[in-house]
Amino acid sequence: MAEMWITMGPQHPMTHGLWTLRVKVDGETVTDTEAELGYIHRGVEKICESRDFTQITPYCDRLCYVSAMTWAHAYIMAAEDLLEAEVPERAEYIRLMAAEVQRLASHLMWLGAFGPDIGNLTLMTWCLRDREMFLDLLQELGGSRMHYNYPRVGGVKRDIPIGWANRLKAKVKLFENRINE
Amino acid sequence: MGTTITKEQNSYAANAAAQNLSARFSDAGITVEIIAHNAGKRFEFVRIICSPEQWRAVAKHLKNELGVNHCAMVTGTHYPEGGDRGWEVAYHMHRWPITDVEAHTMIVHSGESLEGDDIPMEFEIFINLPPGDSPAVPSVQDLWVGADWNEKETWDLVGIDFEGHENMHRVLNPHDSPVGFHPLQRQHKIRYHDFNEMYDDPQGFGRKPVDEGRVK
Repeated sequence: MAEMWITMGPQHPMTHGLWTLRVKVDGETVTDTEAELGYIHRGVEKICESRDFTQITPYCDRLCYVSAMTWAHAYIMAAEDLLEAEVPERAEYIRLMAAEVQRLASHLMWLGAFGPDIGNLTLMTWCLRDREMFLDLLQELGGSRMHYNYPRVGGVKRDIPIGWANRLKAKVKLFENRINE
Repeated sequence: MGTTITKEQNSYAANAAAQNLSARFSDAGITVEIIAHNAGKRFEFVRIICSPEQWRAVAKHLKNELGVNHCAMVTGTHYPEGGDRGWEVAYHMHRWPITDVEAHTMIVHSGESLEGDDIPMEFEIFINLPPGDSPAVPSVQDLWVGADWNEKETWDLVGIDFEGHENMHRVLNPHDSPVGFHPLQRQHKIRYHDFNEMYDDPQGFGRKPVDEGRVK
């Protein structure tokens, strides 16, 4: 049987980000694929050409709205590399904690979204419940629930709030217990 | 047993790779430096600066002699200000010790026990291009699969021509973009250039789209 190209997408019932996958099929066997992205390409690099370096951090937050802290850090560290700026050790630790809490929240998001895909709605509710815990912590740092604009070139926006470390410890412990369950 | 390598291993691997590259390419005028990251554990990596004519030779050496098996990123930059350097292409490469693992086998790598060329290493290659309208670099699509998509993207956005790249097409810009339009070249301006809401129009009264009044 002759091979043919079929376009899959860009719409899909469980769409999280739009893209097209062109698949080459031989009967029912997929023999080759080619991805086509760019549907949500926003040209952030071009916008950043005309922005101050402090104004770019919020843009980087919005590159990926479930892991805003991580992306802002990626930009900030690149800027520090260029400026050869030294970061205080305390700021590095705060950044590490912020990025790791963000990682937990972000992973819980994909796991939660994956639940309904495989027909397990309970998984989603559990993941989102635990994610809120960590989003609360991040909200204390950055002031908002999704886009924190927290890291700065050479440090962070402000020190961690009083008691934040203890709350973090308690919540991580609770989370561990829930995983063990 | 840890999953990360130590600073000594990293330093040893960086020096070994740099010496290897210097011994092979120093006559050809290729610069090899060891640079340390200034965050985290301050791991070192190797930076190579070469010309487009030398790039294929360096790439083959990296792949075959130094075991570089991952092309992580390709970027290009446009410098229209003048000077010797009009364009710069940067390749980021990694060497990972895990290759071609058979299915259903579990190999646990202990970071501290890795030796020689098995130690993960990061390589950064800068290729400087003269000013002009047609920057071109030989493609390494056939050496690393990861270079395929990244070179397409760099051509699409920056307009670097990768010679020998098969099936080059637009990936992020619309497929019907004009030929020769590569938005990250500096001559292209968007409405945000030379205008900053925060300083020039803090209250937003003067904000109007540039195509105001045009019949759509």
